[in-house]
Amino acid sequence: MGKPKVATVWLEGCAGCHMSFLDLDEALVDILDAIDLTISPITDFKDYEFPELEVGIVEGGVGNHEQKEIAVKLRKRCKVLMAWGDCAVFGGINTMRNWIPKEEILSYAYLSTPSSCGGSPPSDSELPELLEKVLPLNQVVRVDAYVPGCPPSPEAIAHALKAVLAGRIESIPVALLHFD
Amino acid sequence: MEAARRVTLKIDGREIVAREGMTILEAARENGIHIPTLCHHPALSNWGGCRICVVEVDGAPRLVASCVMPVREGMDVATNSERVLESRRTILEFLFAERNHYCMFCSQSGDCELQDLAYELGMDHLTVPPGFREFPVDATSSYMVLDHNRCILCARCVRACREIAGKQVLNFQNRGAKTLVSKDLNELTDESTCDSCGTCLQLCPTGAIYHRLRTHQAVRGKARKVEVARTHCPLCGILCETEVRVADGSLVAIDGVLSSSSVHRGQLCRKGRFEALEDRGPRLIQPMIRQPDGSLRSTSWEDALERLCGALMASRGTKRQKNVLGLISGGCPAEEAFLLGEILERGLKGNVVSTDAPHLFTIKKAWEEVGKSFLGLKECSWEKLDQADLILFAGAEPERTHPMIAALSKRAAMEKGATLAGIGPNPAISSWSGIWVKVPAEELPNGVRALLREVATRVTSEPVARWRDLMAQIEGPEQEEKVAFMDSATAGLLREVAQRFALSKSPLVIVGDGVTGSGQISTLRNLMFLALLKGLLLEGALRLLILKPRGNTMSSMRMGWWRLPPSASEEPLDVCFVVEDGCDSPSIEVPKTRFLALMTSHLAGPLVERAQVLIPKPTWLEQGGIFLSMDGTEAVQLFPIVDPPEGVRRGWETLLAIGGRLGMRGLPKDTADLRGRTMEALGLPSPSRQ
Repeated sequence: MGKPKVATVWLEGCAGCHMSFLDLDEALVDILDAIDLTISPITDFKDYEFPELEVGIVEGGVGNHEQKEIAVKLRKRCKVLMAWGDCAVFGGINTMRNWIPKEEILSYAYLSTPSSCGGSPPSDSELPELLEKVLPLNQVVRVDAYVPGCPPSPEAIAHALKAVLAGRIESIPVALLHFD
Repeated sequence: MEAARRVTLKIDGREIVAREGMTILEAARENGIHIPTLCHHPALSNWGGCRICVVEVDGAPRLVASCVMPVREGMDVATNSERVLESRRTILEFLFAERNHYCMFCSQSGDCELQDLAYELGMDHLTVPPGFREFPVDATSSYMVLDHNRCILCARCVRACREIAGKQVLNFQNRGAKTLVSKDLNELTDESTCDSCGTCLQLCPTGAIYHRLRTHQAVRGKARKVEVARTHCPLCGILCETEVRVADGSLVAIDGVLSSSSVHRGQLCRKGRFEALEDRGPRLIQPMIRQPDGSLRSTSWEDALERLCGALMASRGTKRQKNVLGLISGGCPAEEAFLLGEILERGLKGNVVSTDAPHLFTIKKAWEEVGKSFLGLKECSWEKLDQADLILFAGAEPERTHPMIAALSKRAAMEKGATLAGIGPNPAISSWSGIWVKVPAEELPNGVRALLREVATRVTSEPVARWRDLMAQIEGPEQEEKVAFMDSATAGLLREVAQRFALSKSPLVIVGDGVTGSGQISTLRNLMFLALLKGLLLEGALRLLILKPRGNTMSSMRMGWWRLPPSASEEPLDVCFVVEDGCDSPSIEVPKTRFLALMTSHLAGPLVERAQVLIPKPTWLEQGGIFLSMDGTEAVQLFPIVDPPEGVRRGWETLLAIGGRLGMRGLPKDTADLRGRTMEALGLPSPSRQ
């Protein structure tokens, strides 16, 4: 049997969780030895045709139709789905737009900000459409493990990952739990 | 009181002895058993709103809120069974899901009871869908923000406003999920009757009410260490006990010390809680001197002190010794007032006066006049406000000058039905419809005299006959009072105030800067007589409280710095040395002077432009010192809370150095000696509180 396959995706987030993962420094070597990192912002594979996975990892909230599709695809292909960071766990800072209609948000961002200058809200059919609200991952698909934090500490990420790879779903110890 | 009956119960299998009437929570805490709470606060009435403290009793299917459930004989309580923990986690998730709690951009993160609880219960996600509903944010106050998105409706603020502050500004509006904490009849903070005492802010367990002035220094994260120090607020002479929170060497917050036994119950006022944290401009961190072109430049301590001492020495040779003037602000510690006197008055035979001298002069002279007839009278303590059934403000605007006095007066009116009455150009309490006899500032003496006569005709006790004799001596034979400046409606109000004053059991007269600041000695004396008409309080205290302009004004009074300075039109002085507190500008005009030296903490205020030499000093938080209460009976010794900027020496150290340079003998040897001699000069044994 080969090494467990892992994919990570970065939805509506800031990459901070992935940065925190990279901040594991030398501990990363052991982790990367133990897993087969397939699709991930780190490997720069972006086709989202996931193989059968042991672990799928999501950073970021679910804010548009593409992100929703990725989340659903990933859920189907992985045994354990893990949410990284406050955005994937709770919705995070992206949810600040949740009580403003999306048309209003787009027209503000493209027409009315102090730095807007004769733009227009993008309408290309290639571009993913915004959802009405940004949602935490578990409002879109079933989630098995949670690592909150903005970003989660490298230690918290390592703890959760090691537990999952050992076949356990564990809550983050209270000492490592934080939301900021 | 009869001792409460003992009740025996079991909590988590332990036999506990409690007293009848206690709640399960109280019994548990008394025995070191932890039950988490949110809406509960020991300084407030029990609420039972958040349900976080649920426990299992006798295995009953329904859990009970331990903060409101009284103990009962034989009760078997489980505080952390799986069922209880499950229920708590669910309740907590509902609290998070209901509104918008996002720690990552909340300035209160790291100092939040809701967050602490989520950590304690290991809440790593929500199983219920978040509501994502928008709630309003009220950022109209200069001091606090009320963000309903972070509110859990625990009602701590509402109860604090009612039970501790006694203001009843906060309440609830709407029902169910739309419930909001609201001010008055749904006013924004700046349009409400809120006086920004911040008691709600202190008790808010989340970031729903947060500090506007120090958000950039918020306590973010678990790691940041916050030190808490006890001190007193020296800003107005009430000397409220405070808890000062310091992180990384800078001030984060000033909180009140909640206590049901203190008259103000631990509330603070906008001055003590917020204005003390306001940025007052650039600091003076190095001595500076005026250059020939008029600009200022930094210099060494050596040079600055040499120049000042040189000027002082030069004036000594000129025989015009009275041409040296020291001005001391009522915001400075008593040690500085004492040393300035030692150096300039005793050493150089100059004068020292308070920058609030006009107020002190009025007060001193009025006491002297009353003292001719009545010996041993004194002011009462502000704490008597609590017992007053009528509070008469004369020329006083406590909301501006002494917010705590305003708050306690309003509380007396709301809680005990005390009458609030005022005489003067402006209403004393803007948000309370007391009886206000509107009298222009220049007619206040006549208004007060008319009031005094009206009350005297209504009071028919023995002292009144004596009073009539006195009045006749002082002002000639009694005659029909002409109050031409008053219309009939105002005169009617005046008579009503007089009537109520005469009938009240325990009135209190509060005199403000409208009387003391304009030199109305006879008016103040008449107000003292007015208070006298209703008899004395215990220990010879008059039913009268004089609001002093600054926190430590009474120290200057005791040291004798109450005389008026030479007027501005006279011959210029040789040297004027001003010691400020860096807070306010002086209430007198600093006379013309050939050499002006200023010792202050900030490069702010009109004197900075005039001074030849500027000498830095720390703020009260950085150096502490002795401060005297408003009635002059109690002194506190404050200790420094934060470090002064590097290189800034304590005020009294600088003054001692100046005395040394002038070759003075008999100066205090060390800090202990200085404190002792300062207390001696104040006529008090030793600081009674620390």
